[in-house]
Amino acid sequence: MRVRIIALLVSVLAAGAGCGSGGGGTGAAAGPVTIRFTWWGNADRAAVTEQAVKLFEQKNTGIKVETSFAEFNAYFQKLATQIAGGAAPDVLQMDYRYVREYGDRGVLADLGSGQSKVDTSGVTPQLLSGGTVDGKLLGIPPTQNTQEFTYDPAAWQQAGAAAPRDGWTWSDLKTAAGKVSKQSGGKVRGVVDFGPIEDWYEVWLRQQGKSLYTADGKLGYTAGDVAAWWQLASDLRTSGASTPPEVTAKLDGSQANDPVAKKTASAGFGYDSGFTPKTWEIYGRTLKLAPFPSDSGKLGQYAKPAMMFSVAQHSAHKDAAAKLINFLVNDAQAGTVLGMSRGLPANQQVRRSVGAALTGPPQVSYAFEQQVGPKLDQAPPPPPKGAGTVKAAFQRIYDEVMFGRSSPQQAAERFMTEARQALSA
Amino acid sequence: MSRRIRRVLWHAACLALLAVLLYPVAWLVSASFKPAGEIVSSLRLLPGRVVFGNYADVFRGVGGISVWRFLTNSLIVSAGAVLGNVVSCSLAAYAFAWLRFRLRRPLFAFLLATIMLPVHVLLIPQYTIFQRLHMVDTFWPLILPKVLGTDAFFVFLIVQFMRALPSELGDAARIDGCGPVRAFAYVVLPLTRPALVTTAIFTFIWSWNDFLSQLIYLNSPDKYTLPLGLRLFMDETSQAAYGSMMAMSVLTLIPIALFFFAFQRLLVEGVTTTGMNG
Amino acid sequence: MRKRRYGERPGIAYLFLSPWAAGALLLTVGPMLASLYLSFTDYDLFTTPRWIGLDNYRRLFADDPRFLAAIWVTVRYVVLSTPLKLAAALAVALLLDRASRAQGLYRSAFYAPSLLGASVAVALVWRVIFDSGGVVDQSLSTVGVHTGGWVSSPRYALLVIVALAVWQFGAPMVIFMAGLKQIPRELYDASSVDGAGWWRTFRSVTLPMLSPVVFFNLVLETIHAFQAFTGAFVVSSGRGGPGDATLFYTLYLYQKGFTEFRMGYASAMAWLLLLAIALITGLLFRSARAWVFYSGGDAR
Repeated sequence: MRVRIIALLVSVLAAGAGCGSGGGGTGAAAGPVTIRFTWWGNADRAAVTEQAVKLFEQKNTGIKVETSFAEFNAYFQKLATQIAGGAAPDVLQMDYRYVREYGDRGVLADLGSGQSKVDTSGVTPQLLSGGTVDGKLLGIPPTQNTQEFTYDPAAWQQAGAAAPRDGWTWSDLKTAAGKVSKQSGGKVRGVVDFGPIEDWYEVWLRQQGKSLYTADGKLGYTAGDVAAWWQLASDLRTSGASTPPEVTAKLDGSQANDPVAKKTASAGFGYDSGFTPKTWEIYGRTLKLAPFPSDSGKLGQYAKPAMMFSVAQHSAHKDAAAKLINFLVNDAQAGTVLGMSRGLPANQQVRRSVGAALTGPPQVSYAFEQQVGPKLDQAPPPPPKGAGTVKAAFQRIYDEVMFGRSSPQQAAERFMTEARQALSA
Repeated sequence: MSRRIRRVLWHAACLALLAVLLYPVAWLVSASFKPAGEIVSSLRLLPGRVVFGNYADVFRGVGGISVWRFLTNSLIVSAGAVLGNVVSCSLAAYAFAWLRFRLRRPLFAFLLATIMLPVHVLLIPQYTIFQRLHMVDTFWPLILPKVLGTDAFFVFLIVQFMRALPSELGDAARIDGCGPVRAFAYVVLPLTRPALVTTAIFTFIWSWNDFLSQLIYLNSPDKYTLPLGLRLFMDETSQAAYGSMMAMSVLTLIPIALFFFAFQRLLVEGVTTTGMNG
Repeated sequence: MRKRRYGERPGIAYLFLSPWAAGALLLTVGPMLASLYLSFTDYDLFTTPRWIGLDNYRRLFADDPRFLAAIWVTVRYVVLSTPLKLAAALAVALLLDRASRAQGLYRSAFYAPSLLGASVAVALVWRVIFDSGGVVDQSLSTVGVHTGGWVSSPRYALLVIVALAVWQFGAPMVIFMAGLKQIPRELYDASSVDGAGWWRTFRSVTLPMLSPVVFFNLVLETIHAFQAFTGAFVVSSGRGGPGDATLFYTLYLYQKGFTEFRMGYASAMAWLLLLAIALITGLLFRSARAWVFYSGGDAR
């Protein structure tokens, strides 16, 4: 019996360690090949993606695609389990914040050369750096988005607040948001507290010529920068211009906890992807998009890959996998089917044809992207390992500032310690 | 007279308690008839405007798969799990509760230890095993563990009930010349019915709601179950469809509510004391 | 002491155990040993584990304040939620243990919250109850207590998850009810002939006869409470916030294993949890000798 247990244990460990069979054979197989393609997303995205995959199979009769999908968090737990268990899918949807985690561990194939090379000539040039790790293109963004400021124009006008315009400043924001809060007697705050969200902090940093991470993956800022940002946020919060702590503490990216959707705030920072024809209905009013405020005249926003497609290093059919990605990113027909389900198409030609047919909220975000497009920076390289932990700590530790348990300066020092630890671990 | 008052008081107590406990459930059901914007922005119980579109959306299917497919798959998984669990757990429990063997104590301790380790660290090794058995993307990884009685909760549950049976039963069975197998089938099993029904009910409901293992082991969309379908409405990176999610939650609840209602009757008739008098 | 066990042919016992034993060998033992091994390694899921001895264990206690915070959250949760949930379950089970045509309906209704399990809808529902302006806040405000929203308050967030656990008392309730059904009616009849009141009958008949079931519920609910995950995961969107107020042990373990890719570290946490639970379960079993009554009369 003991022998059996040990034999089993060994097989489990061997596979657990990723030594499983099925390594990257050459994909020159004759006859039909089957590849597996997984992604995250909601039901609407699933429906159109299935449709696009069918179209691909029709055009490439030698390739059969098995699909699978789940929502974001579930997807990444499943993906990690599959890869660790030696059963990685061939084509997978990858997130900007995870691409280095997976890439550094040898899980992803290079899409810039070799069998899995994909044509990227049509893709927004600022974007590809976001999928490049140490010179290797590990993910191709099918779509792009950028940071934006959403506000309720009616509420702002009623409160006599000056509407955001190109070149507005952070103090303009404070004044305007304060007016909105006052007008409603504090029931509807001018703006969602932006202090806990590292994404918005990043834009503010870039406006000062700094960046979240240096080229070698270290922190690109000091405790003083964090403290200054949290001080800025605290000024708005304590003056009543932004949302109170118990509202802000719930921010988790979901609409159910979004103060703008719940009408406890009239504006907030966000990304310009994810606008669907139903968005105004859910928000209960028509909103407008504006660029970030800036004190330096530099906008700081950049073209961000909302997500990317990658090929697993273990895939036995890298050429077929690359073909599928090529089709999903560059094919005009596929573009029409997929529409805005993953955001604004990154392929310029596809984007123009999709954009021309838009109406409602997606059209607003398309127009915004066209407006700020020329001012957008190059996407920074994917964040280093541990960046997810740093982002979570940023929000968690700001919670303490918000609830008055810690001053911005103290909290910033503590954050820096934790952040450095997370990056070195 | 006083009996009647007591009955009225009893009903009043039950109903009052239920009113508090069921408020969230009522809100959930009511929310499934609200327009999406209202679900997010309003805390009120009753819908300001009643819509049926949420249900229409759900019945149109999720990602090209019909809700009936999810439902069928969930039923297969849950029914398989119930059968497996009731048989294998009662067998093991009988051995632990009524039979004597040398390794009883250490094995029972081990049985309990198996539920003390958080599932998340077992996930990958277990996945690897099923992967090697070529069972990934089938229902087997969801049913086989039940057939093999790996759910220590239920073994322990049935053990406790079997041990609570009056000891005279064992003596009587023995005097009548029953061997352990017949004593199990004709004496112990019938008397443990409440525990077996409980096992069946819980296994059904918990398998029905079990998101994690269904997520990990099922790949093809046409093998997806209701919980997997439900989660697709909640992707944090795209527009969440709260209305459809509420409607689908309600639809997911109905079969298990019916199952519970039908099976709890079997709990009603308790143990008669034939064993003791006979 | 009366014997009722079949001790003559131990082979029969192993025959009855065989499905479970096969399952344990095939599906449980290997993964458990694998995780034990991994707890001594640096393992990031995708590359070969590297042996580091006791380093994970050392780091947990020496330089991980969040680990200690997670223990504290979990202990408070166990101590609060387990007794409350069991008391609620037993009280309702006793309330419903009464011949009435409405019984089945009531029983189903009381079970309804537990049907929801950890459905994603629960998060929205609990927001409605505990948000500022929600039912709890409003009710408290009418009696002059202003607490604001609970979910996002560091002081009350844990209580929300305790409430969620207690609210779903259906499982122990059903087990208690099944236990009550198994008590021979004769014992009640004898007790009422003796002229005993409700409380005395409860103390001298119901509770002793029910004690194996009480014990079962106590052990299992304690184990489950230590492993509480989904409630916190759903309500706090997996963050354990605000400010770690609901950072449950298993939630932290999950974050380490699956979002930070430190499965070796997570495995070490898992085995420490196993040791802690085993210790407490052992104590409960020892205490059981004093208060759990088996009709068999056999102290096992």
